[in-house]
Amino acid sequence: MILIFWQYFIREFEISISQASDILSQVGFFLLIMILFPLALGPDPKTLTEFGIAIVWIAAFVSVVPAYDRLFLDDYAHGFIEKAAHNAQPLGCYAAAKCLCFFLVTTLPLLIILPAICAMIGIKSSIFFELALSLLLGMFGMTLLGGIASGLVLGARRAAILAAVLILPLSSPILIFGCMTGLALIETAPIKPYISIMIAMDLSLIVVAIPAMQLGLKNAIENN
Amino acid sequence: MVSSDLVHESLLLTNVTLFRANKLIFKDLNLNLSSGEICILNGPNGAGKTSLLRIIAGYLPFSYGIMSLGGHIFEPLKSNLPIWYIGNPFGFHPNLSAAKNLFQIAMMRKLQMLEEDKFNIKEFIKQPIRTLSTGQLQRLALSQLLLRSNRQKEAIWLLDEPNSALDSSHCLTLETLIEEHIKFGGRVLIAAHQPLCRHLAPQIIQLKASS
Repeated sequence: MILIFWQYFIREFEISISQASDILSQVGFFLLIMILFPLALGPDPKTLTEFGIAIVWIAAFVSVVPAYDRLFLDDYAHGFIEKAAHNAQPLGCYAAAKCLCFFLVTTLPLLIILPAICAMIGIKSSIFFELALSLLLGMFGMTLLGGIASGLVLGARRAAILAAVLILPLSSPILIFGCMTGLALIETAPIKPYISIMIAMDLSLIVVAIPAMQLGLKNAIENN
Repeated sequence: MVSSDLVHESLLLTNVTLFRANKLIFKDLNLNLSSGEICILNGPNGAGKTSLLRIIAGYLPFSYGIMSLGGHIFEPLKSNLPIWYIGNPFGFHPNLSAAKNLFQIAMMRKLQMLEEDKFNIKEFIKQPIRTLSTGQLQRLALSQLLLRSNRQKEAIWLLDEPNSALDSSHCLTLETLIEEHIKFGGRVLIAAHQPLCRHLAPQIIQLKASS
């Protein structure tokens, strides 16, 4: 099971590398939103820091959501999911490997440019690691939600809009607790409760997402 | 799960009827495919040849009827009887090399990589799939059938137009391969417009155009 998971992961990683422009355009989009907001808000550092955390979260969400409907689409169109269904391992294993890889290749570039963003909106560099941790947890949950939505809408018409409509309401708890963590960091209040809640959300999402994706993929094969 | 003694029993399709999008594709289709048998599906485009292969592969649910193996309901995706569906789309990712795609399939099925290169895929094995021609793709897809393990002897091969883009020498290779597979107790179901394996005296199922 672990070996095949690793194999799927390696495959996904190689595919992502071969499509590096997708990742770059997503990071570029994130950066663009982060540059535009200070221009719109004005240079007052107090306002910027206040709004900054929320903007980072929204920009991170908005930059990845359009990618979710394509999560399984390529493999579906090329007939790979059918081949994976023949495997002795459940399809959930493939879906989990795909989500993990997607999470890493979309979130790590964001974390790399995060220090620059923090400097731009006046967030102290001392809280950078905690902010990165909360973003990591939040994006992990987002990826699982994206996986569920992507599996469900696979093969449907207007899948892109449908996936976004499914994901965004469900993502609101992640957004709320993510932003609360960030605001607590700025006020130097304890962040442990928020982080714990986010970890709990991620763990429960893992339990729900893997069978849900498996069902979605199976359904999609039958409708092909 | 199909227990191991059932894999030699014959695969039976009884009165299988398929509707797709409220349209009747075929009705009351019967098929008996025993170990070591070959069957050829004939019929015009849209008659349901590919659909029938996809039903047996387990990708497509049928509307009515029974599919059974040795008196038990046969669920292809849960069975330990190996099934190979070779048809478009082949399941290869266009950006990965031919070798990596084939290796992935072998890993998923826990099989050894190729020992013999019957379809001459060595010449393009390092190229990404998107640069291959249709014939090369077909040869690569058929090479999956050469991935060996001790369980592959009883495998069901479902070949959808396997020779549509092959040159004559590779067509011959394919026919020899099918002949060998049948000799060792495998089963082969082929949907083909071009004549293939006539000398093996296959069962022929004629599908009518759906009205």
